[in-house]
Amino acid sequence: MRLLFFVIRRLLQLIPVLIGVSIITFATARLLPGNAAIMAAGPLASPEDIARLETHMKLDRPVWEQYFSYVNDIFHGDFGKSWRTGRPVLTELMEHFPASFELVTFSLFIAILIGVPLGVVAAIRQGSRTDQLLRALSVGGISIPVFWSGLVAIFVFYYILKIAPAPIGRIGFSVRPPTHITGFYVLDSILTLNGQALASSLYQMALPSLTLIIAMMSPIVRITRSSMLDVLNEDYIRSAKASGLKRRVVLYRDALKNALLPVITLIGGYYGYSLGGEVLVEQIFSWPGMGRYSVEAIFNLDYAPVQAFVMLTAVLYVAIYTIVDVLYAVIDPRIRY
Amino acid sequence: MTAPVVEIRDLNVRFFTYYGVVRAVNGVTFSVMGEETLGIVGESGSGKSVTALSMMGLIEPPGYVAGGEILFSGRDLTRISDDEWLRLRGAEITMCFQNPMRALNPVMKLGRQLARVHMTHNRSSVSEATERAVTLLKEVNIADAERLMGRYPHQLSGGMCQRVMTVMAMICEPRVLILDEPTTGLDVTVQKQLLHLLRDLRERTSASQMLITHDLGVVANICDRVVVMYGGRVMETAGVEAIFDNPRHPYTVALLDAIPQVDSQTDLTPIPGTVPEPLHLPSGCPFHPRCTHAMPICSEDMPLLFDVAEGQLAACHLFSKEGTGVATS
Amino acid sequence: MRKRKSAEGIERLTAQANRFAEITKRRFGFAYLVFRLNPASLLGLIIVVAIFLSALFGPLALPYSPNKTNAPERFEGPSSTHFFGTDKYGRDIFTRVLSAARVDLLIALGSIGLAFLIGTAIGALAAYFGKAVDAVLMRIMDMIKSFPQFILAMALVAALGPGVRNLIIVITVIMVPSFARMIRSRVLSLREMPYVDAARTSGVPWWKIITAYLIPNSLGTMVVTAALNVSYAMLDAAGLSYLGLGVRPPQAEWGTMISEGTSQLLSGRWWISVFPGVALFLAVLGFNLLADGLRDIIDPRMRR
Repeated sequence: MRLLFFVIRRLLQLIPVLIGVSIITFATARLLPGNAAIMAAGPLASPEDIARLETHMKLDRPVWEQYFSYVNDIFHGDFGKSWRTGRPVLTELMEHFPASFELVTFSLFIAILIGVPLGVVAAIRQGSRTDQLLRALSVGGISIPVFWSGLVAIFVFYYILKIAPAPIGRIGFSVRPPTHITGFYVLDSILTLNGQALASSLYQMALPSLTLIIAMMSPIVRITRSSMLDVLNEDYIRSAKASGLKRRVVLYRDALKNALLPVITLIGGYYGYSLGGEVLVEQIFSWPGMGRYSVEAIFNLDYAPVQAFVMLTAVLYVAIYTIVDVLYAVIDPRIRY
Repeated sequence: MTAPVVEIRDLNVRFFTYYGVVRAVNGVTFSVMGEETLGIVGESGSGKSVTALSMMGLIEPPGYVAGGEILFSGRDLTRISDDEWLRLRGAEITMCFQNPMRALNPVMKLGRQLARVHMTHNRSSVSEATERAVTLLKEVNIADAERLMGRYPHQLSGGMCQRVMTVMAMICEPRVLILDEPTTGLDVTVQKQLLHLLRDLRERTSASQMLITHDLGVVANICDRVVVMYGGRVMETAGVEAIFDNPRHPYTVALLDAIPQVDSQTDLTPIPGTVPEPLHLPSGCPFHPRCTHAMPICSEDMPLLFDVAEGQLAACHLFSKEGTGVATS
Repeated sequence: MRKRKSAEGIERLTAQANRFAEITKRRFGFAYLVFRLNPASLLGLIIVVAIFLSALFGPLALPYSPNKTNAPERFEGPSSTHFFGTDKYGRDIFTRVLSAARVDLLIALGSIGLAFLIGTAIGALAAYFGKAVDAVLMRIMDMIKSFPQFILAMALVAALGPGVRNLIIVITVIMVPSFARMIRSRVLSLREMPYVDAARTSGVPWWKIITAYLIPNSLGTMVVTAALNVSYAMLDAAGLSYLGLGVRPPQAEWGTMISEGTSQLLSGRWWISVFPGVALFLAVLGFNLLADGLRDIIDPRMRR
């Protein structure tokens, strides 16, 4: 029962947050330079066309009215049209979503797989050479600018060593993408038993995800180590040792679960944060994700995609963060009972 | 007089920290007799907890047992292997810690926490261990013991947690049960329940109890003998009546004098000065800077424990052959 | 791993360690604090100081101008005359890296400084007055926090336009919530302290309580938060500039320099991008190490 109330309360808390998100998104887009109607109309439009478009786009209405119609449109799934392509923004964003999702999910998954155990090891061997090395690497890892490490990776692995592919996108130049089922090239290749596409898409993803993995793994190692250390200092660990339980049992049965709980929350938040598209990585590797799409939109002064992008990433972030919170509540008996 | 269960001789425990070496335990000697309740009294920093931890083999780097012996069951615990410790700890010598709520794993069911101790040491099955745990819980007056096994620590009150922890320590029938500040932080009524429980255990089992506390009231209540510690050394040991009626060591005298009397009108008489910092213990006798009977030799040599009466020892130069042997207030 | 050491060996170590600690404490006072910084943080401090000094004095000491083009010497690799080589316009990269240090430091420290002031004010006010004030202020902070930092920064810079000034404003905005949150929780716990109660009942006005009691006691937390966030500010600023959304060329800034060098990378001219990146990395690393050390000294509980 407590759990149910908790979940409901969390969901209710979402509402003002989402409202705030929409307000900020709306406000930001309105600040973008360039009259939206002029952009949408195109270079050949006459002043009357532009005026008509302005009315149509409600640009002559008071701001709050524009806001409400904006929100109303969103509820109907209308995020506006890109003035450059004329297509609905939502459609275009959705087309670019799988690329971001695939890259981020894949990278984070591996980062967790490697990072969490390393963090645990560092905590267990606190003070040892292993720990010091891991700490040094993780501090280094979080200090490396991700856009720079990507470039260095390209230079070293593609240009010098020639073992990585050219950073031209999700699949090799001459390879046809797999049949579209989910939009995730790796998954679709597996599902359609398309070996060539599978190999190519994995190959293309190697370098960008390597960059991301390094960037993501470092904070994960730190957080895990820190959390594990906190737990290892707790009284109940000492009690468990005092009961004559083996060190290994105490570590894996007692300490680990307690230590991983806060780590889950943090990683979940991190995931939501990154899902919006690692803009810089996508830019460097020409990865056709939402991030790169939005940067292009910015330079095209195309405000609708930017607005939708910002909103979408915020919603994703908040949604995942909430899901993880609830998950945490489910696992932690202190909240359940 | 029964035979000693644990004999500690000249124990030395040091911690090597970034800021210097901490001599937490500095030549401590005392014994825990069979079937007695021994009180270890002292202020914070006197080395009581560290002594207890060394009796459990729980001193970890940067701390080391730097010297001395802890004799138990014909073995010197300062020299046994890790595997031997795994057999002893939790089974023959057990310990209960301060803050019972925090000493239990918050995400593990209590039943599991209790049963696994038994299972580890006795190779029993889950049902056997659970049964034993439930039996013990009932003995310490926990109604509805079966349901409690499926609960989590945060669902219990402080007093109940304390009892669960005691059961966890008694489940393998140890010879020595160490309790570190068991009454600190508990309500007075809960304290009373706990003391009652300990007295009960005293009668029912043959386990010796070693109670670490700074509360002289608790000591007066249930202890048979008392060890007074200060600055990592034993200052005085005696039977409980002797300690209260006839304290010989200046520190013990001052300690008892500092207790406010219910019916007195006079001002409080605290001990002047403050407890020494562990990193900078005074030379010689650790109490000498605050002692009203200090003599020149006190700052040079550490006094040994001298016999001052039947079953009473005090570590003070007053009682050496040269001293006057008087230390009354 | 619990070996028993020989008693004499331990005695000797004991005596040595004690003596050393005593000497340091007595003689050097402040240095003792530095001594308390673990070696890694000390390294961080050294790096930060080095970057500061080279940013301040470096460009003055060097013969080249960061922005003057020098076509005949373009695309030279690292050499004894050009430590970091030259770029497309023949500009000396070493000089540019040092000049860029000024810009990046200015942006990072400027925005963190502003966020420090604004965030502290917001957090303290919210915590002190509670209820409605707290709810409103924290809601606004939450609204900002629900956006992934970099993406919000991107959108804001896109809206406001490029340039150092706007970059500072934007980064300040995205950093304020961290400060506000930290200070708020700190003040909330301080608010219950007896001396605050005493001050209140003695009639001390609210603004004095905040400035004279609450804030000085939160200084540690604030400094640590600032230190921890400087590196993020720097990375965000460089990232935005890399995309072309921040500092504008020809101004030297690490992000823009890396960007300028990107197209040259696959022609083998790696030095144009790599050296600014190394500088950025070192700066961020230095601040991170320093921040960790400060946090461990001042408030280890903040580790999460």
